[in-house]
Amino acid sequence: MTRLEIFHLFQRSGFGLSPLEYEKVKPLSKSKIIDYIFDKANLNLASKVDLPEDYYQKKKNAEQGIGKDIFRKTDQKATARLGGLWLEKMADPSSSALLEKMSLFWHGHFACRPKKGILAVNYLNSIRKHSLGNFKDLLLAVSKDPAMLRFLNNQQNKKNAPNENFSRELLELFTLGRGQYSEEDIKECARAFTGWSSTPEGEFLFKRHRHDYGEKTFLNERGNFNGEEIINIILSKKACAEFLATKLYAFFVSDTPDSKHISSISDQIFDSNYNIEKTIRFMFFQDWFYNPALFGKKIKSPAELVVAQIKMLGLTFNKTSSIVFLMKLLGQVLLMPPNVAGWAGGRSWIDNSTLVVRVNLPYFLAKNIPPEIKAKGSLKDDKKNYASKRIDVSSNPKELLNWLSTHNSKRQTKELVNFLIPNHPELAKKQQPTASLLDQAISILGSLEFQLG
Amino acid sequence: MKRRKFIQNSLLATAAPFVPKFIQNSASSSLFSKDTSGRKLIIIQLSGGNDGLNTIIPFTNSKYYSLRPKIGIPKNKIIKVSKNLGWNPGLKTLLKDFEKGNISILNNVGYPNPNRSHFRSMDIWQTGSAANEYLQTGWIGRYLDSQCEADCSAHNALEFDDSLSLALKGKNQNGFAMSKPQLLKKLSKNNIPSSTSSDNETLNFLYKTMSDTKASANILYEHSKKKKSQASYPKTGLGKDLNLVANLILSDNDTKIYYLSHSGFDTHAYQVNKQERLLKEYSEAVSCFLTDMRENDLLDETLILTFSEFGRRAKENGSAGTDHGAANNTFLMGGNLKNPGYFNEGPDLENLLNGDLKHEIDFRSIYNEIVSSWWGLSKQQFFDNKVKNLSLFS
Repeated sequence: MTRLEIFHLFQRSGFGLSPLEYEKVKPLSKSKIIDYIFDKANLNLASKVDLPEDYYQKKKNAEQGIGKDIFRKTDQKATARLGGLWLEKMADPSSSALLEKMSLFWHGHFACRPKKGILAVNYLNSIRKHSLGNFKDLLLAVSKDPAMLRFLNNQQNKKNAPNENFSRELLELFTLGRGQYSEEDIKECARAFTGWSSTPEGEFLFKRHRHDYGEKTFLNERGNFNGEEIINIILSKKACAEFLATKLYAFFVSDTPDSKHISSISDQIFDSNYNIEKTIRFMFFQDWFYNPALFGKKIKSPAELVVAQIKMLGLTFNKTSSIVFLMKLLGQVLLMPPNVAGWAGGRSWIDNSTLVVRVNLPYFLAKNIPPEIKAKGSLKDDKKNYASKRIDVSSNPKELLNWLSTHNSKRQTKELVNFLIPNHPELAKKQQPTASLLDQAISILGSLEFQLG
Repeated sequence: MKRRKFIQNSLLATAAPFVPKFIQNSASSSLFSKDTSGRKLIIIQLSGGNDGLNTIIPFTNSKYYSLRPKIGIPKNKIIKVSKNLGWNPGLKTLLKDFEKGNISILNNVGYPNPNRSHFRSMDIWQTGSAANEYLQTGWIGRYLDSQCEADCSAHNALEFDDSLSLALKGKNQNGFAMSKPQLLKKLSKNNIPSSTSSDNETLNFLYKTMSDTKASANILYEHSKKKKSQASYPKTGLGKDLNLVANLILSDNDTKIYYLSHSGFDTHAYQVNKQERLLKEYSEAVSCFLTDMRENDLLDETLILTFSEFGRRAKENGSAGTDHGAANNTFLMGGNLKNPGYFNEGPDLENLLNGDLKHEIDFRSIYNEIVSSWWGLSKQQFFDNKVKNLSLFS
C-alpha cells in the first residue's frame, strides 16, 4: 500500500493515524493492515462506554428517596455527558477506531435521543456490541431497545389503538427506504409491534395483552406476524441490502453515489446474510476504495474532527461538559441527534458559524484561548439558556512532537504537513519557518485542508 | 451594488422576455409597482413554548377562569382590547401600535397531530414539515436556495446567535449567524487565503465559505456602526438585538431576513410573573422598533413574525404553571397588513383536543403568505397546497 492509501484507509475506517500507529503499520501488506484493523475491533467487542460511578450512586440514592431533584437534573444531562465520554473512548489509543466508527455510523442510522442516562448507556452499548456483527441482531436489538421504543412512541402502540411512529421509521429510515412499501404496510407493521414496550427501569417488556395477535398482510405476505417475523420479511428483500449499501457508501466512501460500487456492496450484504464485518472487510479490499480521486474529499464530521484533535494535540478534558460544549458549537452532540433521521452529513456540517469554530478549534484547545461564543442551550431559563463556557482542557502533544524529533530538523515541517494533511504537501511551503513545530501543527490543524479526510 | 444586482436577478430574470432591453439595463426598481426587494422580514422566536392563553385572553369566558383558578389573569389586570379578547398586562406598550393598525393577531395557529416535545415541535416550525415528516432544511433555507443561485450576500438571512438554527439552513445556501459583529470579525480573522488553486470542489467550497464569512463579518461590522438609530431601545437582550437590526437597516445593509429569539417561556411553575416580565421585555423592545421604523418611513417595508414552538395546556398544572400544549397565537406586525387587529376568533375552550387548544390555522399557510404575497414568489415550491390562503398582506 502507498503512504496515501494507508492514510486514506485509516481516515475512513477510523479517525486517522497516530504517529506510533503509523510507524507500526507502515511496513505491513494490505491484508495484514486490514487484519490489524479488524483484530483490534474484535478484541474490543466487549468493551463498554459507561457513566461514572457518581451517576449510579445518585440514582441509587434517588430510588431510596434521597436527593431526587438533584438526580433528575443529573439524569437530564447524562445523555449528552455519555456522548462526551464516548468521544473520549473513540480517541483512546487502546480502543478500536473501526468499532467506534462503525458505532458512529449506526448511531446516525438508528438515530435516537435517550431521555435518561441509563437508557443512553444501554442503547449505545447495544449498538457497539452489534456494530460489526449481523445486521439482523442489531436491528432486533434496536427494535427492543427501551430508549428507541420510547423515542418513537412504541410505548403507546397498542392493539386497537396503534401508534405508527416506530413502524414508519423502521421501514423508511432503518431498512427499506421510501418507495418500497405502502401506507397500508406501515399500518400492518405497527400492529405486529403492538405491546413492544419497556419497564420503568428500562428493560424490554412484551405486553402480551396489548399485542395484536390477528392476521396481517405485510409486503404481500399474509400471516399472524409478530415483530420479529416482520423483520425477517424485511430482510428477505434485496431493497433492504441496497438501502444499507447506499448509506455505507456515503459514510465510508463518498458523498457522490456510484451505482456499480453500491450494487457490489449490496450483493455482499445480501449474500453474506447481512454480515456486517464481512461487508466492511469486502469494501476495504476493493481497488475502487483506494481511487485517489476520493482522497480528502469528505468533510470530517465534528466527531471525527474533535477525535483527531484529541489524538494529535494529546488533549485531556478535565470536564466532559467541555466536549459537549464544543460539539454543540460544531453541530453534533452525540446521543442527541436533531431527529430520527440523524445528521445529514456532507456539506451540511458547514455554515459560517461552524466553520469559524473549526478553524479556531486548535487555538481554543491547545492555546487556551477562550472561545467567547455561546452554544444554543436548553429552553428552560433566560439567563442560563446560553452558557458561554471555558473549555477546561490540558494539552500534551508529546507523541507528535517526539515523532517529529526523530526526523532531520530541516525536514520536520514537511513531515508534519505530510502526516496531518497527506493530500496537501503544497501547504509545507506556506508554513512560517520561524514558528515552533507546535505552532505549525496548530496552524495546520486549523486549516481548511484539515477539515477534509 | 450587490443589492442592486440581487434585485435584477430576482425580479428581472422572470420578467426579462417582456421588458425592453434599455429598461433592463437601467435596473430601476421603481418601474415595478409590486416591488418587494426592499422588504425585510424579522422573525422573533419565543423559545420554550409561550402560554398563548395567558397572552391573548378570552376574559369573558368563565371556562377560562375555571380551567385556570390560580394563574388566570384577573379581569381588572387585563388590557381589554376588544369585547372578548384581552391582553396580558406585559403587552401594554404595544397597544398604540395595535391601534395604528400595525398588528395582526392570529389565534389558534398550529398543525395536525401536534408534538409536545420542545425540540421536535421547534423542528417542525423551523422546517415547515408535517408532524410525521423529517426535513433537513429550514423554510428560510429553502427560500435562500430558490433565490440565491446567482448572487446573494452570505448575510442575506441573518440570525443573531453564535450558531445557526435549522430554519436558516438550506441545501445549497445557508443563512448567517452572528451574535456580536465585533466578535465574529475577530474570530474570522486568520491567515487563510481567500481562494485555492485546487480542483477539489469540496475544498473550494470551504474556501468560499470562509472568504464569504470574512467579507460579511466586515460588512456587518461596518454597517452596525455606520448609521445608528436615534431611538432609545431597552437594554434587554431583545432590545439590543432589535437595536442592531435597526442600525443595520438604516445603514442600507442588504440583509432581507433577521432571525431573533427571546427565551424562557417554558413556564411549568409559578408562571404568572415570569411570563409577564418576558412579554414586557418583548413588547417594549418590539414597540420601540416599530416606532423607529415608522419614524424612518420604513414601516411599510417591515414585517415581524412572532411565533413559539407550541402553546400550553389549557388547564393549569399543580404548581401554578402550565405544561406543554398545542395551538397558539402568532403575531404579525408591520405597516402593510391587510387585516390588522384580530384575524380570527379566540380559542374554543369548550372544544379541546386532549386538553389542548385545537388548531384552526396551519402555521405553514402563514409561511406561504410570506413567501407568496410578501416576497411575491410562487408558493408551490415551498409547501404543498393543502394549506389555505389567508390574505394577510395588502
